[in-house]
This record gives sequence, C-alpha cells and structure tokens, in this order.
Amino acid sequence: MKNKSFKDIVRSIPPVVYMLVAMIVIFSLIEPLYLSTRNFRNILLQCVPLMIMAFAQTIVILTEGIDMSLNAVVNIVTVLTVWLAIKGVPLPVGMAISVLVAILIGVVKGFFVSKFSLPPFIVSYGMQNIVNSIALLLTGGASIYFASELYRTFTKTVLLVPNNVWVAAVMFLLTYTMLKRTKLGANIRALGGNPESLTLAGVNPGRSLIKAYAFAGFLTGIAGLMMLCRVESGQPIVANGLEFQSVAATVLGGTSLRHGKGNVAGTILGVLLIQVIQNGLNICGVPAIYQSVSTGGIVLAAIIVNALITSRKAKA
Amino acid sequence: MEKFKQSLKESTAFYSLIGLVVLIILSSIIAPNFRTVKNMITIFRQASLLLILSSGLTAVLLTGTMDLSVGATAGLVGCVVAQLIKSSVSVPVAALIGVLIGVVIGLINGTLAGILPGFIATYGTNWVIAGLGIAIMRGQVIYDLPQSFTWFGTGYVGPIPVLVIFALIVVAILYVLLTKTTLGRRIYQYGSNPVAAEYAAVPTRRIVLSAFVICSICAAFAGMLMTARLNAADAAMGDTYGLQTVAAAVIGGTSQKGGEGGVLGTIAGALILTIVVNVMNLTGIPAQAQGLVIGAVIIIMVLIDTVTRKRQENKID
Amino acid sequence: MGKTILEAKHITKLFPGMKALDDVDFDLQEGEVHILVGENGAGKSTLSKVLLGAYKAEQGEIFLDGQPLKLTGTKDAIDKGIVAVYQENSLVPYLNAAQNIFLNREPKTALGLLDLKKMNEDAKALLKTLNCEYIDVTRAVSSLSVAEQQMVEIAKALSFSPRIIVFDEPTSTLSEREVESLFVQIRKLKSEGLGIIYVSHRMQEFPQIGDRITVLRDGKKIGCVGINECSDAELVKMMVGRDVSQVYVRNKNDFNEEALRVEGLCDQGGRVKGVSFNVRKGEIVGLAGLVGAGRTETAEMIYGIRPIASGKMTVFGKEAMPKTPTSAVKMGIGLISEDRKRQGLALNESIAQNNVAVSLLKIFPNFFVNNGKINQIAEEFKEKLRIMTTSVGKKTRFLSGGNQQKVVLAKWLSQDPEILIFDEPTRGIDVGAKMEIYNLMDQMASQGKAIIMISSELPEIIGMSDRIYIMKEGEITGEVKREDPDFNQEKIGELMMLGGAE
Repeated sequence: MKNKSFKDIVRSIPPVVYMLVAMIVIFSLIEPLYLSTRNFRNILLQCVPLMIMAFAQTIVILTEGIDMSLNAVVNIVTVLTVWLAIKGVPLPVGMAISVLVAILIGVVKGFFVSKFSLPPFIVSYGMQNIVNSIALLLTGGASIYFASELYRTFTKTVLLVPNNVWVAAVMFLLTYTMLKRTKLGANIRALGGNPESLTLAGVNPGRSLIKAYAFAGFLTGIAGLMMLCRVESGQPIVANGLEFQSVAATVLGGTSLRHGKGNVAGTILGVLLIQVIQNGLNICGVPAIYQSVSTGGIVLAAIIVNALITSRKAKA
Repeated sequence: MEKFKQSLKESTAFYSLIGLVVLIILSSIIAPNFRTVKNMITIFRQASLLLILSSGLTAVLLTGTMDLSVGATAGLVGCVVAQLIKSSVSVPVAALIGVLIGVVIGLINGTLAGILPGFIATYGTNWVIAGLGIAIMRGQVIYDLPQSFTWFGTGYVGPIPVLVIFALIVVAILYVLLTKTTLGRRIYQYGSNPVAAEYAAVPTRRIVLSAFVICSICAAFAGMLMTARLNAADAAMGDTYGLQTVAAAVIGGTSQKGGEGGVLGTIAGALILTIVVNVMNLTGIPAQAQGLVIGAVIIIMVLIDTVTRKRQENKID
Repeated sequence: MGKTILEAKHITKLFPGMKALDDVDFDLQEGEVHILVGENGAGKSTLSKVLLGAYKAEQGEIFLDGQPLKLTGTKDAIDKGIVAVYQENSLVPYLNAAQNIFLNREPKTALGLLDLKKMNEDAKALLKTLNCEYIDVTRAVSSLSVAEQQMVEIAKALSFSPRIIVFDEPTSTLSEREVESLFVQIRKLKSEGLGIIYVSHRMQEFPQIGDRITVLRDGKKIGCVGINECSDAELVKMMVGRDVSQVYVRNKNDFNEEALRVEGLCDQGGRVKGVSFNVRKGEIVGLAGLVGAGRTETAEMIYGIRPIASGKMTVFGKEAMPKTPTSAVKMGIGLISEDRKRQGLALNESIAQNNVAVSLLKIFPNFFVNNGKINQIAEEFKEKLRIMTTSVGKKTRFLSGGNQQKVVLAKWLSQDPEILIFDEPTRGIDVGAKMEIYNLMDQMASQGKAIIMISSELPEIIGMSDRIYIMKEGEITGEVKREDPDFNQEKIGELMMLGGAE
C-alpha cells in the first residue's frame, strides 16, 4: 500500500524534472566547475527574460493559441524605452510607456484572433513583422544606447538572489494566481478546452481572449524591461528566436498545445532545462559551431522523451 | 461555364486569386515600371524559391500538421551540395545526394510528427538542421561555383530564367500530385478527418510521411537552386524562408487545420508576398520598413479569406 | 399535475431557406416531464433553443407563469430559471468539477480571488443531492467517465436552482445502468415540482419517465398526447407522416458457407475476454449488450483497428489476423463505425469524395484519379440510397444525420466487402432513414453478404437479426436463434443484464 503511493508520487512527477536533474548530473560529471553557485546564479540571471516570456506564451497556449511575436515585443520594449530616454523622457516613464505598448500589442492580437477567428499563428507572425519593422525603423537598424545606473539595480542581489530573478518570481506568482484563482484563469482554460461553455455561461469569449492576450502582453513587456537591463541598450533583434524557445519551454513544462491543458509551474522547469542545456554545453567547452546543433538536438530529444512519457501515462 | 464559375467561387483559392489581381492593379498604378515584361519576369524569378517551398509545404499543411523546418532544410542542402561540388563531385551526383538528404529529413519529420504536434517536432528539427548547417560550414561561406551548376539559378532559356521554369515544373507536379492522384486525395482525406481516414482503411502513417517527404524534397530543390542563384552557400541563407513559406500557403487559403486549400492558392499567396516586396523596392521603401507592410498584408489577406469563407459557409447552411 | 409554468404560442423560427418552426404551440406544467420528439430536422432542437434563449423566434410569444417573456440570451434564460443539460458536453476538460459547475458564478474571497474552498463544498453538496458524492470535485473533468461528466453537467444545471430543465438527448452517451440512475434523478426533480422538457429519439424510454409527448414534423406541431394515449406505432406514424406497419423487413435466406469465425478473441485492455462466434453468408448476426459490454471493441479488433492480444480469426476458411484496417479491407471486411461524425465522415469533404473514401484504390488502381468518375459514382449511390441533397459536391457537414449515415453506407457499398459490421447504424437518425437502412441490410444479406449488427436498441436487433449473441462484460453470455422460443426482448434483456445461466 505504502509502496503504491510512493509509486504514484513518482509517477506524478512530470518528466521535465528527471530530465533537468539528469542534465545537471551529466554536465557536472563532465565539468566539475559546472556545479558552482556562481554558475547557477548565471543560469538564473540569463534565463529571466525567456522565463517571463514563457509565462506569457503559456497563457496564450492555454487558450489554444500561439504567439510568434513575443520576440518582437521584447525587441520593441528595449528599443522604445531607450529611444524615449534619448528624446528626454525619464527612463522609468519610458519603461511604463513601453509596457503599455506591449499590452496594447497584445490587445490588438487578441482582437484579431477573437473578433475574426483568425489563426493566432498567422496573426502573431504578421504582428512580428510589423513590430520588428517599427523597432528597426526607430533605431535605423543598429543598437541604440542610453547610459543609466537604473539597469544595474535589477542585476543587484537581495537575499542571495538577483533582483531580476525576484521580478520573475513575482511574475510567476501573478500568473499562477491569475490562472488558479481568478475568473480570467478559468475562462482561459475554457477558451482552450471548450469555448462554447463560456457562451453558455454568459461569458463573452472574445473579451476573455483579449484579456488573456493583454495579460500576456504585460508579462512580455516586463520581460522586455528585464532584457533591457541585461543588455543596457535598445536592440531591435535581441530576442529573435526566443519566441520559439518559449513555446519549447512551455511544452517541456507539460502544457499541451491543445485543450487548455497545462500549468505555468511546469514552464519554469522547461525554461530552466533549456537554459541548463545551453549553459552546460558552453561550460563544457563545446565549440561554438557545434553548439546550435547540439543544443537543438538535446532539446528535441527532451521534447520527444517528454511526449512519449506523457502519452504512455495517459494510456495507463 | 456556370459550373466552372461556381466551383471557382467555392474554391478556397478564389479570394487569394482576387487579392492577387487587385494587388497587380494597385501595383501598376503605384509603380509605373511594375507593368514591364522585364519586371514581371523579375517577380517570377524572385518568387520561384518561395513557390517551390510553399507548394511543398502545402502538402504538409493539408494533412493538418506543420513543417517549420523547410527554410533550414533548404539552407542545409544548399550548403552540402555546394561543398560536394567544390570537392569536385559531379553536379548530378551532388544534386541526387541533396534530394536524398531531403528525403531523410522528410522521413524524420514525418515520423516525429506521429508522436508530437508537427509544430513542435519540426521546430526541434529546424534547430538541429540549422545547427548542422553551421557545423558543416564552420562559419565559412562558399563562393564561386562552376557555371554548370549556377546555370540552374542564373541561366536563361530565351527570355525566361531557368529558375522560373524549374519553379513552374515543380508547382505543376505538385498540383497534379495533390489533386489528381490517389495519394493527393488521401492527403486531403486524412487532413479533413484523421480518425475517419483511419477507419476508412487509409494507411495514415504512410500518408503523413509522404506529405513530409514531398515537402522536404521541395525544400531540398529550393536549397540547391538558392545556392545556384546566389553562386554561394551560407549556413543561414534559408532561415528567413521558414515562416515566410507558411505565410504564403496560409494567405493562399490553405488552412492550418488541414484538408482545405491547395497549390493554386499557394501560388497566389507566394506571388502576393513577392509582388509586395517588389513594389516596395520599385518605389524605394527602405528594407527596414518593409516588414510593416508585409505583416499588414499577411493579416489582411488571412482576414479576408477567413471572413469570406465564413460567410460562404453560412450561405450554404 | 400542477399549473402551467411555461407556455409558447405560435412560435415561428426562420432559417435561411427554410421554416425551422412553423406556428408551434407548446406548454409545460409543474412536475411534468414533457417529451419533445420528431425526426431529425423536425425542429425539436430549434424549439428547445428558442425556449432557452439561444435563438430568437421571428414570431410568437412565450409566457412564464402567465407573464410575457422576452429572452435576450441563454444567460437571461438561466437567470429566469430555464436551464439546459446539453447533448454535447458543455464542460471545460481541464477545469475541475467545482469550477465547471460555477463557471462565471464563482464565489470570491474578500481579496477578490476565487473562493476555492467554498466552491468545492458547494459542488460536493450539489452532487450529493444527485447521489453522486463519489465524484471528486477537485479532479479535472477530463479524467471523469462520460457518465460522471453527465452528472456534473446536471449538477451544473441544478446549481442555478432552475424551475425548468431541458434535457437534450441526455442518454445518447450513457449505458443502460447510468440511464436508470439518470431517470431516478429526473423523477426526483419532477417530484420537487420542476418542469422538464425531454428531447429524445429513444421511444423505449418514453413510458419510463414521460407524462406528455409533443410530436414535431417539418417544423410543425403534429400533436400532443398523453403518454398512455398512444401506441408506438401511432407515434411513429405521427413522426414519419406515413404508416409504418412493417418496420423490420427480413427475407429468409439460406446460410451455408461460413464467412467469419472468431475464437477466444481477447483485447489488450481486458475489455474483451475470449469472444467466440461466427457469421455465415446471407446471415445477419446481432451482437446485443449494454454499452461497455465489449461489442464495439470486438468489432474494432475484427476490423484491425484495435490490437488483438490473443485468439483466432478465420475469414472464409482461411486463418487471418488483420493488423490494420487496410489489411481487414483486403480480406473483405468492413466496419460502419459507431461515431459517424468522428469516425465515419470527413465533414469538410464532399459527398462524392466521402463516397470513395474506402474504395479509392480499388476504383483507381493506377495512381491517377478522375474526379468526373468520382462524381458519377456518387450520383449513382445518391439515386440508389435516396440521399437527399442538391449536389454530390456538397460537404457532408450540411447533411442531416440520416443522409450522413447513407453516405457512410455508400462509402462501404462502393467498396463492396463480403463481411460488413454495422455498429449502431441507426443511432441519432430519424425513423424514415432507419427503415431505409434496415431494407438495405436485408438486401445485402439476400445478396449473400455476411452482416454483423451491433445495437443497443433491442427491438431493432431482434427485428433484424437471424441470430443474436449476447455480450456482457467482455464475454458472450448467450446465443439465441430467430426460431428459438427465447428470441424475445425479455429473455435477451435478461441475458444482457444478468449474464447466462450458470
């Protein structure tokens, strides 16, 4: 009896946990330097923007959507904030404006997806083109700079943890609470699982969807600010590629692309797994030209293993 | 005639074809030198790679899955073939190897798409394939390929570029394959309802694999032609094509849900995207601003397609 | 019976090109189960949707307690105490039962967050009134059984403290035992004075719960009768509009050659435990049993879609083990599956394309297809099966259930298998189409085909079969032949419920 409950506990642990532990063990066996607080601090620091983006992606995916424009939103937030600062707008004000813009972009996407039932993939890809183009126009294609001490406050450490990691933690709590303990959270799962049920319950599904995209937009805006504090400049292409990584992380974390199944806690582990792989290959001295193929290979393998285990569990 | 009109109207390609016509008219007004024969040929030449890639992708989209790896596949095959030719492998043999790589990638993608959502599976393979390209090129770019090879990308037969002829042949083959063969019918059947297809004794695994192989072979072709046209190979050369290819097919009315759409629409979609860029170049709109227009065109075209189709369905109902 | 709660007068509802409801009157009394019946497309669902505020009628009035009622939407209807338990699941799969029940009416804490604790307690209390306290309200409903989900659905309806509940085909996904417990609940609600509108096809259920029956046909009200005032045959006549003295037509055939024999068939999940039976050419063999008895699973193993764990299968004297539907079809086996929309049809494809879905390679063995020929074949079947459509190019999505089922039949007839399994072939289709399908089955048997029929409707399976095997919990518990004295509802029903004599 006791044995069985232990088995149940083991079974209930999502595969991403095992994979994360396995990767850490493997990397530390290959390279003893890997297992240092400094390195783990680095991993945490590095993954903050992707982490918050992945929270946003998780929300969108739970509505049975997908957002290919998260990278562009992060890009524009870094660019716009710096551009405004150069034009004389105080940095904190510029930051607030940028986050508002990110929310607005989310609302526009949500509007098109809900009002005309357009496929989210295409709407967000179109939006990616538009927003990236604006970012390039604002900067003339290069990076733009505005010196400030404010960026550094987010990389400083409070209670052993860097500030931007605290920001990510707050964003997680916000997202988690929203999904679990608010109407919007329930509605988001309904959007992915059975939108009809919302209409029957007297909820306007379109409005819920726009709210979901707006919330995701807010998170992406914050992710953009964290990116800005890391690169300390406005960079129009800095986040390109992360839109896909955020999807991979979400899926690794156990969220399904369909039916509103999944949770944001898993996403944290998914992001960590991707970051641990990238960081580990780097620390272990894999030559630069082989890093992309090996990272991609390991992430793909992880995704496959995850899918196989999950489907076997579902069958059993 | 009446029947033809009706079937044209019900065809999913209808509104993208109208969009294409409207765009051509608008373009001729905006840019006077748009209408020249020379520019038309230029447009077709510019569109040819996208036409090949997106027609191939149409097969996968029709099964209701997704292939995000076509750009990377094209890039990798282009690089491998360039290296082979540089190390004096004959052009036909190199091309054959290129196609074989396409087949293998298609088989891998198709197999993975049986376990995972195609979107995720091919995002993963895209990463690996792009990485392989970087690894085999070691950060280098290959230049100066023999003329016997570059002719495919830069040569002319009369006034018409060889590249365009190739594209039209590939597109024609795909059109016939998807609409006039049992394989094509079964791709539609599967995409329209995979469960029902299985119950109708359709070998579903094989159908999905075939679609992915078709797609990857097209990508391999496009990659080789890309290298031939640039007279160079670079690991990243296919990257931008990945999502653009999806956009072309979807603008053309091929639904990501599967079973709806086809090569005709995709041709319109690929031409629309190309013409928009062409006109922007003719009128001197800077490259940085072009994404703005392209993004808007993508959203508007899909909007028109979706809204009109919905209205049509309500009418029949 | 109490006073009238709901009254609808002269309701007319127009859809593009048709009158879905034409001057229909309807009334509902307190403590009454009022059954709405009619063929598909007769207007039952439309009428219930008008009463639920989902549709707005062009003409007519509705009165609630004698007061005129103008509904602005389903939410408005709910607020006024009119709720529905829908045929298709209206639950969110990855929300738990409590959250589903209180969707959009969630209790909140002082902080404005959802009060999960109160929600769970309230949900538990509701389920308890339904005697379903065993359902874990904190589990995602996707992990509950279909019947449990249906109960959550009912709990959700009850949570609005309604006065009127509309049940739209509530038993179509339930097993007989679950149907019985649902009826217990309905009787209880009725005794509490609620008015219940019950939309259904299943005539055998009517006497068990109904008080009055309103029959609709082609959007018109044909009549309203008390439950005991009218025989089944009269009811069918009202629904179909013509006399149906002979519903089940069977010609006597000679059975000689054995077409299919299975011995000790077991599946991997333990749903089928050593099933043995045979069917001969020209014979219709029925598989009777409750939902979940393993009949569909058996059919799917024979058709190669479900893996066989052990057992032996012989097709025309040769040992055969189909691993895929493709190989089953090559052996001459076909399956008309249970779930028409999910398994039977590509709804976005045309009638013509669906018609050749199985036989495509047989018609066009040389890789290339001729769409003209496909249309021509479809035209032939359209005539032969009397499929009602303007064109064979029409998507099957736009056909009625009966016509859809005919397309599925056409799909198999064009392949022409020697052994054909019909799994619930008349589920959810109207009486007229049912009879045509019975006729067709009889014709096929006369042509020497071997037919296996799975059905949960006893009159139908008794009317059509030459022999019936009764299945219970994965095993065959009995076999009766048409000429046996036991070939009747009582005996077969008993075998289905209790199993064979020990």
